[in-house]
Amino acid sequence: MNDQLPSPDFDRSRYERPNQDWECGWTCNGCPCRIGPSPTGDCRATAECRPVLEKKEGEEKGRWRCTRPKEHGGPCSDGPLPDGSCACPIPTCQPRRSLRNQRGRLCMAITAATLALLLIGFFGPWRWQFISAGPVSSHHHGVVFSQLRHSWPGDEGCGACHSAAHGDLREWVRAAFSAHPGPLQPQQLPGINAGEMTGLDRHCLACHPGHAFHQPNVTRDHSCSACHREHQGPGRMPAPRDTQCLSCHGNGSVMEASLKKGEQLPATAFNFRQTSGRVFYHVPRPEQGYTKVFKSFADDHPEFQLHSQRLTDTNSLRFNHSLHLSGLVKLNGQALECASCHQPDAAGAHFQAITYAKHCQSCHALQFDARNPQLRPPHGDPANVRAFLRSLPTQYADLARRSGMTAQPDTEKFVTEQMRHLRERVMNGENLEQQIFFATDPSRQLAVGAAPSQISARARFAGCAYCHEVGPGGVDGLPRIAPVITPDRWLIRGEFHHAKHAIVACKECHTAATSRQTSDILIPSKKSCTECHSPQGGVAQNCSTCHSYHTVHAPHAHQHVVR
Amino acid sequence: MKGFVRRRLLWVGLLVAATVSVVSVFPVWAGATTRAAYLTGWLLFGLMVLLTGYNWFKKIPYLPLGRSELWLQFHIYAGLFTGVLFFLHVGGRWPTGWFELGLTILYAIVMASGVLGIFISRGWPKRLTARSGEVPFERIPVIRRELRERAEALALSTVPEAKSATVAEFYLRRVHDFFGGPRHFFSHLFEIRLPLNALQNDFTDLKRFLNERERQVAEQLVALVRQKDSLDYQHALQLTLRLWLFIHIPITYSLMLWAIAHIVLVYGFSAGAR
Repeated sequence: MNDQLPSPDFDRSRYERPNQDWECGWTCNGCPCRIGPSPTGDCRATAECRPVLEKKEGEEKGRWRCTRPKEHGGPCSDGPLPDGSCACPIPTCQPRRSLRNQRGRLCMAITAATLALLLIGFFGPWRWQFISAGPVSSHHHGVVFSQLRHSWPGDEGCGACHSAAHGDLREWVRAAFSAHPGPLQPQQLPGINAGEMTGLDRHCLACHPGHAFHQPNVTRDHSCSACHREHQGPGRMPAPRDTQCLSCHGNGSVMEASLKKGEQLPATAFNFRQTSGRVFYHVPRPEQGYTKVFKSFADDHPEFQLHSQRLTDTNSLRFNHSLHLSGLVKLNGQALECASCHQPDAAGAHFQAITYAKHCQSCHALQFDARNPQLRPPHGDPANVRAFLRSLPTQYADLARRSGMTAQPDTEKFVTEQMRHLRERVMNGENLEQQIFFATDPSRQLAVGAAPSQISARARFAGCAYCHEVGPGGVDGLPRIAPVITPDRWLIRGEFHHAKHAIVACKECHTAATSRQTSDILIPSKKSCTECHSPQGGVAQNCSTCHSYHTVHAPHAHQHVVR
Repeated sequence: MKGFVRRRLLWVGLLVAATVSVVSVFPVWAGATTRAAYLTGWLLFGLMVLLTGYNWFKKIPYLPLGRSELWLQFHIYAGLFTGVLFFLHVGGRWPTGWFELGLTILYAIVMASGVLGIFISRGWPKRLTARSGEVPFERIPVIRRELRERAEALALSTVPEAKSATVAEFYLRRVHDFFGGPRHFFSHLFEIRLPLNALQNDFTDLKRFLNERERQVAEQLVALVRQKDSLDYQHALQLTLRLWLFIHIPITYSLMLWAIAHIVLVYGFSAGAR
C-alpha cells in the first residue's frame, strides 16, 4: 500500500528549526503559533497580529489595519479592535523542550548519575566489592587467608596485595600516577620486557618467600602476576599462558644465558626434586641442560629424553610383557589384560605400585612341593626362605594340623612320608635350597614332583632366579637377590593423568604387546602425544597441560604476615 | 553510486586490514610484553575519545576538521573496530567484578545501539520513501491536524446532507481517537498492519447500513484513515531514527567516565601488574 501524503510545504518562513531548545506548546496539536517561545522557554504569544494605524489625508482618527500574514490566513474578517489591539489573541502555551534539548539534558543527567554512582561506589561501604575485579581464587580464599584478611587494609584484605588499598580515592589516584610507567606514559609500555618483576609481585613474595622455585639456572626472576592472574573467579587460578613460558624458552638469548649459568653450577644443584616416597626414574641431565629453544609442543618441543637418549629400564626383575598379554597366560580363565595388573590409584592419575602379593602371587605362587601346593616359602628376604626350608618338618606338621589331622601319630606319619618324598627328589636340604634359589626352568618342577596328569593353570614355580637376578655374595652364605626397583614415575618433568586418557586404549600408546625385555621402556614417544595434542589433533598443547613452572625445592612455607 | 560503492569498499578494506593487523600482532605483543592488555586498552580508549568527539566536531563547523560525512564514515568503521580491540583487551573473558561488569555492559549498550543506529539509518529512509513519500518530522503534527479537521468535517457533513447520523456516530465511536494523535507505534516499526486492517474492516461492515451519500463519505474517510496511518508510520520510524541517539550518546558519556575510572583503578591497583 502506498498512500502518498500531501506534499510538504517548504515555506522558508515557516521552516522549523529542530536545533532550537524550545518549541511552541501547541505544536503537538498541529497549530504552533508563529511567534514561538523565547530562547529561555517563555511563551511570547500575544495576538495574531500587531495592527497598524493608517491615516488618510485629512483624517484625524485613522483606521486600524490587520497585519496577519498571508500564510497565516491573511487579514482577519473582524479586524482590529477600536483601541488598536488585535481581535484574535493567541492563547498562551507552556512551551516544551525540543527533542535535541531533551537529549542534551538526558546526557547531562546520565553523566551526573554515572558520576554519582562512581562516587558512591568509591566511597560507599561496599567499595572494595565494587572495585574488585572479581572474586579471588580458591588459593587466596582459604581459612588462613580469611582469618588474616581483616588485619589487612580494605575489608576484603585487598591491602595484602594492593598498596592502593591502604587509602581512599586520593590514594588510588596517587598510586596510579606513581606507577611505572604511569597513565601518562603509555609510550613506555612496549619497552617493558615480558615477565619483568613488578611492585605487585613484591607483595606476593611477602607470603611466598624466595623466588628460587624453577630450575637453578634461571637468569632472572619471572613476574608472579604475569603467570598467575587473580580475580578471575572463585575456583582455581587459570593456568599460565604459553607466552609466559615462551618468553624464556622461546628466547634464544635467555636460553643461552641459562646454559652458561647452568654450566657453572655443580650437578648436584639440579638434584632438587622431592620424591615424597615415590621412586623416580632418574634421567641424567643433558649436556646442554633443558635450554633448547622451541615454540610449541607439536612442532619443535624436544623428544622425551627417555627416547632421545635411548634409555633403558634397569630393573632387575625379569618380566615379559608380550608373553603376559599373548593370551597364553590366563587368570581365572581370562586372558590377561593391562588392567589385570595396572590398577589406577585413588586419584586415577597414576597406577598403584606392582607388588608380588597383589599382582604376581595368584599365578606365580612359590609352590616348591607339587604334592602339597599349600606349602610355600615366604617371598622376600632370602634368610626367611632359608629358615623356612630348615624347618620343613615343622612346616609339614603345621600343614597336617591345618588339614585336620589331630592325632600325633598321624601327623608324624604324614611328616615322615612327605620328607621321604622330598629326599627322593632333591637328595638333601642343600640341594633343595639351591634349586629354590637358583632354578630357572619351570619345566623341571614337573620332573621333581608333579604327576604327569596334574596340569595347573597357574605358572609353575621353578625358583627365585626365574624372575630375579640371584647370585652368590649374600650375607651368611645366602644368595644375593638383586632388589627390584620399579619406578613410580617415569616422566618426572611432566605430569600425566591416566584417567583423562581413559578413552584411548593402552595399546594405542604403549607397545607392551611386543615388549619381551624388562629393559624396554614402554613410555610413548612425543609423536604418540602429538597425534592428539597438536593443532591437527585438536587437543590442548599448552605448556601447563603437562608442566608446572614451580619445581618445589623444599617444603614451601607460606608466611601469612599480619601488617 | 559508483563512488559510494568504492568508498564503502575502501572503508571495509581498512577495517579488515586493521582487524587482521591487530589480531596477528597481538600474540606478538603478548609474547614480547606483559602489558599487551595495557596497549589494547589505550588504543581502545584513544579510539573511544575520537568517536565521542564526533558529536562535538559537528558542533564546531568553523574549524577545518574535514567533512562531517568523512567523520561519520570514520565513526562507523572505527566503532566496529573497537569491538575487536575490546575482545582482545578482555581476552574473551566475561568480567567477574561489579565495576568491570558495569564497564562491559555500558560498552555493549553503546556498541549495540550504534549498530542498531547504522542499521536503521541506512535501511529505514528507503522504507519511508517507499511507503508514503517525504514528510518532515516537525510538520507531522500540522498534517495530522489537517487530516483530523478534514475527517471531522466529512463525518459531520453526512448529518444534514444524508439526514443520518450513522457515519458521525461511527466516527465518534471508532475513528475520532485514531485521528487524535500518533497511534500504533510498535506496529509501524515492525510493519504490522493489523490495526489499520481492523479499522478498514469496521468501515466495510458499516457500509452495509449506509445510503449512497454516506457510502461516498465513508470512502473518503477510509482514504483519510489511510493517510493518517501513513503519517503515523512516518512518525514512528522518524522518531525512532532520533530516539536511538537518546541511548547511544548519553551512555557514551557514561562509558567514558567509567573508562577513566577504570584506568585509574588499573594503574592504582595493579601497580605495574597486568
